[in-house]
Formats: sequence, C-alpha cells, structure tokens
Amino acid sequence: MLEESLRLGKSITAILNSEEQDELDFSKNWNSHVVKIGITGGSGAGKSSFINQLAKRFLESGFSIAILLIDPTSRLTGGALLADRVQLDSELSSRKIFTRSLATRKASDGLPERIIPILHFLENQNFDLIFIETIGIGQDSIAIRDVSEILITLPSGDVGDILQFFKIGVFEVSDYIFFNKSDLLDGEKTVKTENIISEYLSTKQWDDRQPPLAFYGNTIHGDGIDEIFQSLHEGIQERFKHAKL
Amino acid sequence: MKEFRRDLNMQNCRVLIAKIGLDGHDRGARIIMSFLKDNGFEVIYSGLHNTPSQIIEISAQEDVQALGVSILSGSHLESMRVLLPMVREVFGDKFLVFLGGVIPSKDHQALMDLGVDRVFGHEETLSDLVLWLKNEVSKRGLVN
Repeated sequence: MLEESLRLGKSITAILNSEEQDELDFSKNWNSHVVKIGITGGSGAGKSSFINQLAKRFLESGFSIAILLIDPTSRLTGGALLADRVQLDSELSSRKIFTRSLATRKASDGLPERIIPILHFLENQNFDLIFIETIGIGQDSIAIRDVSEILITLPSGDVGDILQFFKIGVFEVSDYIFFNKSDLLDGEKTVKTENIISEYLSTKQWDDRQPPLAFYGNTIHGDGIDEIFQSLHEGIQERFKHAKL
Repeated sequence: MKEFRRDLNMQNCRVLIAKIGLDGHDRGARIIMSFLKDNGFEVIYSGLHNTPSQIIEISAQEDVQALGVSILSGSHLESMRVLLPMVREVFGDKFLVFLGGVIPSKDHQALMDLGVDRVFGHEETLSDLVLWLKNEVSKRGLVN
C-alpha cells in the first residue's frame, strides 16, 4: 500500500497548494458509486472513535475506505494540532485505510480549504466509502451536509433540554443521530435524553424529509455500533444497486 | 483578522510526532506538539505504540516534511536501526528526522551516524527545536 499512500498523500498536498478556484456548484457531479459519510458533533463527542468502529466493520465487509480527519487551524498562529488519528486503530488506519488529517486553514465553516476538489479527487481513486470527520461544532455548522450523502451527528454529553434540539441546525439535516457514551450518564439521565430525542423526532415537522434515525451506544466499548452499522450497510447496498442501473 | 504571526509559511510544513514500540509515555511529545502548533506548524500525532512501517505509512499519507520521534523506553538505537533505512529509502534526504525523550548523550553520535538529523537532549529548550526546524526547513527548501 506504500506506493499508493505516497501518491495519494502527494496529490492531496498538490490540491491544497494549487491556486485554482473551487467549483462553486458542488452539489453536482459526485460519483454515484462512492458514498461519503459525514460525521459531525461537538468536540469530545467521540467522532473519531465512532469512525474507527464503523470503518472496522465496513472493511470486514469488503469495502475500500478513505478517511479525512479535520481539525481547526489556530486563528492566532496558523498552526494546527491534528490528533484524531490517535483514536484510530493504527494498523487499520495506516495499512488498510487511506487516512489524511486536514487543517481548516482559512476556511470558516468547519471544513478545510479545498475540500471539494479533494473529495472529487478521492472519489476517482477506487474507494467505496469516504468518511469525513468535521471539527467539533456548535449549533450552526452544516456545510458538511452539502458534501456527504449520509450525515451522522453525535451530540456531546448532556444534551440539555428539548429547546436545544429545536435550535441546533445540524440535527434537522442529519440522517442519523448517534448518542454516544449513553451508558456513562446515570439511568435517569439516559432515559431523559432518550425521551428528549424521541419527543424531538416526533414533534418536529419533517414534511417529505425522512427524520434522522436515533441510535444509542458507546464507541469505546462498541455498544450500539452493530445496530447503526447494519442500518448504514443496508442503505448503502441499496444505493449502490440504484447507482449501477 | 490579523495576519498570522509567521515569517515562513509554516502551515505548509507538516510535522509528524510519533511514538514507537512499547513506550507509553507521551507527556513530552504532547508539550512538543503544542509548542509547534503555537509556532505555526501543522502537527500530526501518531498516537502510541507504532511499528516503524506504520510510521512510514502515516508519513506518506500525511505527506509530512519532518518526523519527530519521542522515545523514553531505551530502545532508541534498535528502533532507529530499523526506521532510518526505511525513511531514507522512501523519502530520501529531503526529509527531517529528529529525536527526543530520554536519550543518553553517549548515544547521540551513533544515532546521527544512522541518519538522524538531530537529537534533542534535556538541556535544550523548546525554542531550540523551533529555531532548528525553521532553519532546516528553509535551508533544504521543504516548504513551497
């Protein structure tokens, strides 16, 4: 895999350094044989370890995978600490999956500069799945929606009350909500959170959109991962079937 | 927004900080990473317990120009005897390797002979590292 890693690594740097303008209309021309899964949520919510769990399972099912891990650039110094790899299984992320860390640099919506051409490039490299992990987000960073076919949001820790759910923009555009570390809260709180999420899902007006599916678990112990993986896997198989027609 | 505080465009210099083998101490590595970030570098952390070939793969995927290895386990000579030939074969001389951790000064020369560009001892400061890195990066033309 080393030659491939070198080639892909250098190509992404070249895209980052090129002066070309991004394509403005990026909703078009995506490769229908590749599924991009966006993972977003607050900092420390467990996004990287969630990707680790999912990627492991997709790899076992024969998928070829790339992962983009995004962390913020310091506004003061221009430096960045890209430390998401720490949560991934080294053997998988270095030898079986192409994994690249990206800093946001001057971009401001939680995605890095030149993400569109980078994704277009990766889509043409024989990957079936591309995971994109955003930086930890607050209430209104939904640019990730525009670049992913499937969007999964991990709320961080204690979600507060239902009004938070109504306010936070990323939930209403998500396909899945994975409530991580749900076992760490005391029983009463877990029940309360589950109630809030189900109240949110049933109260909100979804029109013709599919409301997000909610799952609960723990990305370190692996609880709840098989369930969400199965749902994702079925959806992706279905999508591939249609893409080939 | 204010212009970034920098003389060179250090953003284009990506540095991998790696831990190799059975060595679970990374407090020093974390301090180094924080300091490099504050000096405008993009720093990638490998996490603990990597093999030499994993470090080579990560360096390739991340397209870094410099690799800093932190070793506190006493296995610096053995590890570098495996890692350095791989580094030079894959990345050539336009690639910096520096070492830190607990490395007796009697071993410094042997490590340099293996192809390590610089060994940092406990008497050196964080600023020494940054100064050296910036100098080498510009001298060897490692950033665009």
